[in-house]
Amino acid sequence: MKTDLITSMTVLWGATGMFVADVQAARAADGDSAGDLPQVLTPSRLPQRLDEAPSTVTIIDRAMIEASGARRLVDVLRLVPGLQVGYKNNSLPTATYHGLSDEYARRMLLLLNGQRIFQYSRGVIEWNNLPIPLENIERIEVVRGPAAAAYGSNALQAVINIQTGSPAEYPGLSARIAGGNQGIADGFLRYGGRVGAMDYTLSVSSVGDSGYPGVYDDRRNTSVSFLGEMPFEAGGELKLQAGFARGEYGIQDPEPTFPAPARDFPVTDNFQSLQWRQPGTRNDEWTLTLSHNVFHYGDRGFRNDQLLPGVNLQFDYDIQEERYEADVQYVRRFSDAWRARAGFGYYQERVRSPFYFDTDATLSNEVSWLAGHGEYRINPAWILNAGAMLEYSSLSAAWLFLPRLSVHYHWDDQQTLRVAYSTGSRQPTLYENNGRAIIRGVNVPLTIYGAYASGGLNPEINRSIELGYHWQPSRSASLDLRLFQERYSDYIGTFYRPAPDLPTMLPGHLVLDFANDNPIMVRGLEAQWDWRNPSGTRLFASYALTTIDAAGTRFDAGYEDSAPHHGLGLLISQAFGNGWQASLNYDYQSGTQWYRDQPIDGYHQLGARLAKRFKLGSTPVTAELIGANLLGPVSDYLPNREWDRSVFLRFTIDH
Amino acid sequence: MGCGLLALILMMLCAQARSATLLFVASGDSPDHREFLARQRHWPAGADLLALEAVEAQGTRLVGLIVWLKSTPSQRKSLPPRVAMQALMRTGSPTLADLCQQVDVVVAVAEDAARAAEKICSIPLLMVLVPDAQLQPLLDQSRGPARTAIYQAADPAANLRLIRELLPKATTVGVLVSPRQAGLSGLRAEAQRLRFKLEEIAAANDEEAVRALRNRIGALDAVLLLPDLQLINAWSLKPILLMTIRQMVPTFGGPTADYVRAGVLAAAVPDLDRLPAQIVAVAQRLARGAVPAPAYPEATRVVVNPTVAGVLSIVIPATWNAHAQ
Repeated sequence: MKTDLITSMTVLWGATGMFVADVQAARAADGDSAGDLPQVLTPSRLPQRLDEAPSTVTIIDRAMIEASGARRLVDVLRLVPGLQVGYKNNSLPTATYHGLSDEYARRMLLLLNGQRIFQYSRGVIEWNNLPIPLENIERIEVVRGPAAAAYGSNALQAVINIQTGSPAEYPGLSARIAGGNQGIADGFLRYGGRVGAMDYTLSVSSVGDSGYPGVYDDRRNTSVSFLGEMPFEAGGELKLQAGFARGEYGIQDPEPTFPAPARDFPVTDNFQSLQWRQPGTRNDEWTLTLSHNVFHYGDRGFRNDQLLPGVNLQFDYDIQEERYEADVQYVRRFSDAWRARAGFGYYQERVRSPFYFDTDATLSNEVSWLAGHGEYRINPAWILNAGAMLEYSSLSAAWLFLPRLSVHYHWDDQQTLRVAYSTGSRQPTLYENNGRAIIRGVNVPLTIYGAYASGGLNPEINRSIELGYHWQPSRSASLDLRLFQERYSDYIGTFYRPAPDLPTMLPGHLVLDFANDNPIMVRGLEAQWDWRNPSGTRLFASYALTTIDAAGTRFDAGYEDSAPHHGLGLLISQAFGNGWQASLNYDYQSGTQWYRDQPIDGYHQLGARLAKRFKLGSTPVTAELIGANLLGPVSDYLPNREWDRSVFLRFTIDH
Repeated sequence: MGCGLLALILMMLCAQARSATLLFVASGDSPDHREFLARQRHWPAGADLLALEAVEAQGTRLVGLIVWLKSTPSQRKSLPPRVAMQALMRTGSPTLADLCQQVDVVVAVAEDAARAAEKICSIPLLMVLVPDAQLQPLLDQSRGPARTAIYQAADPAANLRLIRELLPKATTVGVLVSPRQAGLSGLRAEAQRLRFKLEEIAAANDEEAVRALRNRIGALDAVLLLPDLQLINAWSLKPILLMTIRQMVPTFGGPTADYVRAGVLAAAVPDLDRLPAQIVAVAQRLARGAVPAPAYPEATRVVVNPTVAGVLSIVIPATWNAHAQ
């Protein structure tokens, strides 16, 4: 029994920020060396107190996800200070941190239980089509700021780590259905059980709606996911994850370069991962993770025989990608004052898209990295964090050294000051470096170019300095303030260049190309306040002030307006007696203009949720009435596309 | 002079009352139980001890310890001297049945030994360190000699007091209860006294316990684990701890300090070093023919997991640190 209990203890780290070395230390400790603040895992991949982590973190827990009434994960992120969310198309929600992004936001890293989930060739996160249902997400840690020292490429602006629950947390059957206006029709089914020593859960989810009013952009996202965990008698654990997601989309291009018919297309995403964790005997632990990810953007486009007389043109947007990844981590607690992590990894990404690269060949990129992080407690008041990554990408054929350093000072038991320097990087995507977006003649040998990348791009680098203050007056309240400055060098921007020797889509023999731009500075202030009380109130509030200085840039791309100057997020939830609960969520973004798109006005968005828990026989049921955009239509990406009020009912049962 | 004589008489009566021979038996396969028996060797002065490396009990391998609390034989039986017992051992492994013929009370440590003793011995039986779920059927036997127990876990009410101490503002405490859970009235009364709303979450098995708690966790300030292995065991503890720690809801209780090591925030657990005194007292009452009701361990200590306290932002009083584990 004792062995079993200690084994079960070792699993706490993934979801709670604890790991076996901590707990083993706790067993021997005769005092409290762990401090009195929640722990986070994502900033350095080492479990750390929130006020001692080298990056600022926003934690979104299950209760906040439920209270927000969100149907899509990306909408939950509106609460994160400095993070903006928009929908140019219902099929492709976009989220970015501190602007500088178009609808293919590619400067944040998304992790699912530590595994990279993004489309490599364009760097895009398929927020609609994540192979994990929202219902299985227990916690989201958002690292606000670059974190390449721990994750390497794409951790340029922020890292979002989605953490699911352990399969053992979901025994039995759960079901959820939702329906409302705007075509909202969602379903979710989950079963958790045990096979031998393995706990598993299998989930099926289908989410759909009709998108923007009056626009052909219906969507239905269906996913199947499997989680399995098997502890070993001798300690350690094997974790299996697999997921498949398929999105069925209708699309009507809001700004077609050419007359493009409304059409349907699928997107599929599947992944598998295997993780083996093995505690050592010296307050240490090994973790090996192997993963595989396949992505297929199946928009086969359309044909047009009207643009060029006698020529039938094929437009095709099909992309197929595959990624293999291996990651080894070693964590060790040397003493109460000194802990460290070291790791190395490799991943290979392969892309095939004849119409984006003008070749039937498969292109690839390989990345190898070596990283480490140390936390040293100089004395009870001062903590030093230092870490770095050495990364090599075959695409840029260059080594990158990506360091991070932070110093924390505990003013007293409740207040902490921090200063941190960190770096982020983003390797150019294959499309930015090798892209040849083309249209082909079907009945004649003709290739017309829309984009023609010159290549030779340098990776983007973000060097960030921040000054932070953390105040935790009680275990149920915390305030975090952050002043920051980020300097983006070699930002990869787009521009149109003459290509007189090429037949081009654009008049004037212009093609789209990519180039490194001059430095861009982003400065700002961010605050977040999280508070709950025993009478069932929960309040989360955030504010962001962001300014972008792009005075010296080469391209007039409207960088300065690409992030809202002011952003405000608010979630308030109250539990009443007899199973009643109500919540409001509010989001304000001042006027902005997504990268190279039309400006939009500031908007206020209000959502509300009323929930009642009751029993049907012996089966617990939750009924919810949820409304979004209750203050009126909201445009969050383009001025002529407005989200209207939506109301839906949702029922959840657990059996 | 008169007072001195009266005191002397009283002392003699007390000494006579403590006279008894106890046979401790425990599973030979459990290092924990062997360790427990080893603790019994630190007996009060005047006790005579004899360790038995192997006791045959109809296929169950036990180890044993005989304790003569005084050199004076008991009134009920004529005790063989140590040499006679050693002679018995030289004939091979003594059987539990033979040994039970020679002692006043058998003290069975944990479930295997308790089952064997209950089946084989027809003398008063005291069971210790037996999980509640296994204990109840053994106690429910209506025929045969006297049986009683010292529960494995501390009084759950002690854990409620611990919650009040650490969470002065807490109002709602969730407790997972199975349909056969007994002894809740004392817990309810203590909850009322401490101004807690005791949220009793019914579950028939461990999976149901996890599901039921998941649905209620958002409304709880703390979770109290009762010593019911049908609900709280090595399997269910993992998801319970994961969901409670993630939701920042502290968990208290559990039958042993291992639960705290595994991630429970704090628990009042029996102080095994001080348990022998209670065992002696109960065993002597059994030897005298009384049948004391099962009781919680009288001596407890508080164990705290400082890492979990840190994760949950709960400040452990400085005066507790000396006792934290």
